[in-house]
Amino acid sequence: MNLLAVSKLNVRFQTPEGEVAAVSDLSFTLASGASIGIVGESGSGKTQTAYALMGLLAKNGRASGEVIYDSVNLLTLSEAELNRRRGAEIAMIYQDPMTSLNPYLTVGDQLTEVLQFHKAMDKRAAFAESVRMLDAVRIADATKRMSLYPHEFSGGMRQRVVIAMALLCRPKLLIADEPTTALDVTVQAQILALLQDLRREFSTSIILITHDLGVVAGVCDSVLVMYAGRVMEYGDAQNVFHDAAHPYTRGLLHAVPRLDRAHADAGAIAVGSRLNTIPGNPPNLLALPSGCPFVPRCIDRSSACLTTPKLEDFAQGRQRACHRLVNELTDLDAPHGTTK
Amino acid sequence: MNSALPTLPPLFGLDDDANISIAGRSLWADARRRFLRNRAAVISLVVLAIIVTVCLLGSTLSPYAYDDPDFAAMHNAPDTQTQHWFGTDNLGRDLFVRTLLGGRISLMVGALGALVAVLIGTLYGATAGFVGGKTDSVMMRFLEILASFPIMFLVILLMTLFGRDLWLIFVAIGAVSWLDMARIVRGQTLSLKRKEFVEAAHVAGVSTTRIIVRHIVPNVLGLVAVYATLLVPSMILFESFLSYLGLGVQEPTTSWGALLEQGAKSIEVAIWELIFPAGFLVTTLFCFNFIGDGLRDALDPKDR
Amino acid sequence: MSTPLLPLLDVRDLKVHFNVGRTGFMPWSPPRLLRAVDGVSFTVNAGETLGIVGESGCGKSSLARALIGLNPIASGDALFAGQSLRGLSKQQWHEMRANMQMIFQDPLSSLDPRMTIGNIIAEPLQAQRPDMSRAEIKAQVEQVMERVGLLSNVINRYPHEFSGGQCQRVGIARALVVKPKLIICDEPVSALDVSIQAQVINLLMDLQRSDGLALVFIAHDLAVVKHIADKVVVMYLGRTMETAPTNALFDTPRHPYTRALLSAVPVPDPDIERNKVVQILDGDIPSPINPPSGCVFRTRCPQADAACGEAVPTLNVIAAMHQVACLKMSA
Repeated sequence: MNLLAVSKLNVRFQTPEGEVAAVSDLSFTLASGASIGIVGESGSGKTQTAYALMGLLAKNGRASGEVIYDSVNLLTLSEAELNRRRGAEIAMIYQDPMTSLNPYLTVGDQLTEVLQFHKAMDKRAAFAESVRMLDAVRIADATKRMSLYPHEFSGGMRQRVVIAMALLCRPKLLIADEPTTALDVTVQAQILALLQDLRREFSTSIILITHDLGVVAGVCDSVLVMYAGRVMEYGDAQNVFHDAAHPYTRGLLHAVPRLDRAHADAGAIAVGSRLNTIPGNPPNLLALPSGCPFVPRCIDRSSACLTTPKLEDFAQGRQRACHRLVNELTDLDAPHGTTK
Repeated sequence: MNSALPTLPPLFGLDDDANISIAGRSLWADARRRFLRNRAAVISLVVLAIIVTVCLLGSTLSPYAYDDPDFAAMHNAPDTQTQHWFGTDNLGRDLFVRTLLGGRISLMVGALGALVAVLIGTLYGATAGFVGGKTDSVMMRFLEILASFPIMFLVILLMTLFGRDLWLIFVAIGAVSWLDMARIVRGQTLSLKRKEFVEAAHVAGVSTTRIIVRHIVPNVLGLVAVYATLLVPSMILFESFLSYLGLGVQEPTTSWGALLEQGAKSIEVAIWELIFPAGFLVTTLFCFNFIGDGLRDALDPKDR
Repeated sequence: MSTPLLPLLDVRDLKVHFNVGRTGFMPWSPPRLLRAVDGVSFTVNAGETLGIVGESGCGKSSLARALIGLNPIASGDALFAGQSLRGLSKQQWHEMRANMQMIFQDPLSSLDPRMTIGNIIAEPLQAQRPDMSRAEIKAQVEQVMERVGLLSNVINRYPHEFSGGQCQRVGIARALVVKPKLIICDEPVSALDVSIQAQVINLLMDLQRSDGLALVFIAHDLAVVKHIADKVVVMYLGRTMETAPTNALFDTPRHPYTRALLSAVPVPDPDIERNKVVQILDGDIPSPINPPSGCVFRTRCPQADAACGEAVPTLNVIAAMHQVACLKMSA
């Protein structure tokens, strides 16, 4: 049973420079308790997707299409109905924890307030539940820390508080927008482990939005790769990472330096240690090329690419948007004498 | 030698470099474009230009001089026949000519205040902020002493000692107008100093003076322009206030403030003596404020 | 690699301290010290890349800024080609900057928004070489722009019209234009998109190889450092924890902190990622104003015991060029 089914989601912004298509024809489904990673670089529309799902788009933005959650289209709900679901059933974590914390209130006040509002708990019950949740996100001395202000916590601790706050009402869906980008790797590891544990414990579905392929590999069952507002590839994490079927996904996977690959010895540095790159620059959403948005940077492009490719099934549970056949694409793992 | 990139297959109809224009669009050009889209600001600019032109050239249209009393025509209502378009005042002087003269003085006071603020305030603030340390402390304490001086008392003292003189007003306004500007510029400089491009200039070996002139000043200029525009009306008001208290310009010279004082006295017999100068003053103040707001929006689009 | 007689950069027990208020309320109470860098030593040879890694607050940026003269050196020394960087006069620093340049983290904010690309790149040249004519400067700017992959027709455009990757190319061109021997790179790719990051890393490596440049490459991304560096210094709370040639450090990390750090880096491979054992470090990095006694890492170290609070570990050589500061290693 799908918890969330997004189909043909479009997000448009009216700006003085013209209309910006931030998200185009995005579709995916998310089962109860599953996790999906939305991967993309700047301008890919991944964050605007999250805002559209939450009904939090900026004033000049409009979302169309369908976001079916619990057999209701979220896009047609009134602000009041949305408010009831936000926080209670759908929660969001932002990159900067201070976005969701009020610096002038104690952490305890902010946590209990959520429960009093959504669950109509009395103060004492709300306090006890909040302490329990701080314990769950592994904050030591939870009772004592309830009376502290956000600035008295470190960055990693603050993100834990935010996660605790998001999970207070036991939401069915958690949208995490770059939750670890601002954190150090050792703290990132703590938070990711925590998210995994909590997902198991509360069987929350997670939408993880990130630019870091490594983070997705560890946390997500399925992956959606976005570029310039469009889905390039969608499938199981296993398939996407081991057998990427889109030139962009392939390029991206090969552009990251990896810790599990050998360092080219200083003497033999000549060719071996070059990183594969995706040429060109990030997309300008105001001046997208006609056809496939990735075409200016694609090493496998052909004249067919000047028309927009549809997102189509090409294998069991896998979709991609590309005119070229999978076996026609450049194999980046092969020793490359062709790239100069 | 851009070998970092793999070769792309050529593709007809797509040329990466085709849409790169040669000439850049500077932040100033961007700001001008945004300003011109702001209708209130552009209208204000046009109205202000008309007011300034009329104040400068308008009196040549009238047969009267600003200091010609006509005791046969005291408190006369506006009348096109006698060519007293705005009527006359308590001494029978032509109000049209006097309003324009008052405008010249008021605008001059405002412009002078803004000019002093821009010149002294910007340099003083940028220096204090950029040099920092003890220099900054000494400069800011001096500024605080000036700012805490009872300026009204000073003006009254000067007036009683030297009599009413336009120059004393200029001195008084010059002394106060640049203080806030210096503070604002110093704050902005402090934050600019931490910016990486200023550090990059340091690393490049650029001298301190050159960093202030090339990097700091151009980057505070936007803020300075906004603040200077908003300073003009407050200086005009300050002068009007002094004049209203009877501390302003010496008769028969006049300013909008002085005319208002006159007009208020004869409000029951000759309402036009209040309405015309007040109309000009209020319109001018409105214009400056709209232009200042427009500039702020244009120069700092993020804060909208 | 052959070792020249004199290293290009020789850093000896360098300390960078900042005053952050006072210990008491009185203006004469002694200042409170933030020990951002607390005794770090390393050498960089010509044509070599030294990577400095560590989490935020470990002092790696303060170290970089001290080397280029943006932070004062509290004690210790740094020698560039044998010449001390301490107590250089203004004039001497000015000359030194023809040898040493810097690339900054944030590509956009390191470029003056009111200057054109051409003027930005020309600025170090104008400051260093007042004898050059305008035409000569322009020719050199265009040449360096081509080398970093910028078309010369963008010379009159402004930074805000470019993407982050292009801005970083401008920053690299600005550092290259005076033909320095050493470039200090402070997180040069961490603000860039993944696909652009690879372009910039390749560019830096190409330039280094063709010009024999030495790089001090500061980053928090260990994979990037592994890719680009010849040797690596791992810092924690202002101290060196471990230093080794790149292969030795990543293949056989010895310090518990290095191990934890390496295990925490996510790898884009679901099989590896789901089956690996991450050594989770508890808590956060302590405050450098009030660091733990003894070994600074002991508050988060899985192997720490009472002895670690007593003695400060020194760097011990455990293999060729491989040094570790851990009491458990020397035993």
